[in-house]
Amino acid sequence: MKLKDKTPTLALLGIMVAAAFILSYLESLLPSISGIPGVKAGLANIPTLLVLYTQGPAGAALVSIARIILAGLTFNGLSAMLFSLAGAVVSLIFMTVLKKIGAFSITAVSVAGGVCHNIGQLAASCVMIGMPILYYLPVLIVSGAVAGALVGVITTLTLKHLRSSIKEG
Amino acid sequence: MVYFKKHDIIVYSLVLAVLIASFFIWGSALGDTGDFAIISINGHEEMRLPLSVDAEKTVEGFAGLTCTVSIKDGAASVTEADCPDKLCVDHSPISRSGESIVCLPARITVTISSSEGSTIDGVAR
Repeated sequence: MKLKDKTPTLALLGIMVAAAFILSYLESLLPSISGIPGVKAGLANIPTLLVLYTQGPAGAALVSIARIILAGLTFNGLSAMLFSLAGAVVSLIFMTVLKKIGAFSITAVSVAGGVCHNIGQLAASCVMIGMPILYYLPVLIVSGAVAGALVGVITTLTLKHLRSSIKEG
Repeated sequence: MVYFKKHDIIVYSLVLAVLIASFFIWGSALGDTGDFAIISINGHEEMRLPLSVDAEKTVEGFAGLTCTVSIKDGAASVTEADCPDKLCVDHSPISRSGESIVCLPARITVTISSSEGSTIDGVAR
C-alpha cells in the first residue's frame, strides 16, 4: 500500500477509536443491570467489529486496544483495564479466525467474540483475585452471548449503511 | 447482509457446549468445606462469622434493606430479608469454600472462605 492510500484508513481508524471511546463512556454511565462486574452490552465493540470487517484484524486490534487503554486511564480504572485487555485479546483471536473461515454471519462471529471476551476477562481475574470468582462463569457466558448477538446485529445494520462510504482495505 | 447463516449453528452449539462445561468447572472450582462466612456490603467486608458456631446476624445493606444471615450446623443461609425478590432466602445453605449467596437489591453477599486470607475482597476498584 502506498503512503497516499493510508490516509483514509488512518482517518477511519481515528474516528472508530473515538466512537468506541464514547460508547465505552456512555456504557459506564448506565447502571449495572445485574450487579455483576463484566455484564454489559459491549456497545464499544461495534466499532471494533466494523473495522474487523472493513480493514482487517490489525486495525480491529488497534481500535480495541486503544479504546481499552483510553477508557482504563480515564474512567474505567486500572484493574478493569487489565481484565478488559485480556478479554479483548482472546476475543480478537477467535473473531479473526472465525471471520477467516468465512462461513459465519457477523452475528455469530460477534457472539463468539462476546463469549470469548468474558472468558478471557474472567481468566485474568482468576489469576489476580482467585478461583472463587469462577462462580460467575455461567452468567458471564450467557451475558457475553446475548451482548454479542446485540452488537452483531447492530454492526450488520451499520455496515449495510456504511459500505458505500468506508473504503475497504 | 444476513443476520444468520447456516453454519452459525456450529458457533452457537459450541457456545452452548462451553456453557454446559462451565457448570462443571463451576462445581469443581468450589473447594472443600470452608471455615468462615464473610458478609460483605457493596463489596466491602462487613464481618466474618466462623461456621463452627451457630449464630444469627442481621445486616443492613443498600437502601436500608436488611438480610438475616444465620449459621447452623456448619452452613450459612439467609433466613430473612426484606428485599423484594427474596432470591437470597430461597438459596440453599452454603458451606463449601467459594460458594456464595448474593442479595442484589441489598448489595449483600455471603461468601464462604476456607482460610483467614481474603478472597474476592482483596481487590480494590
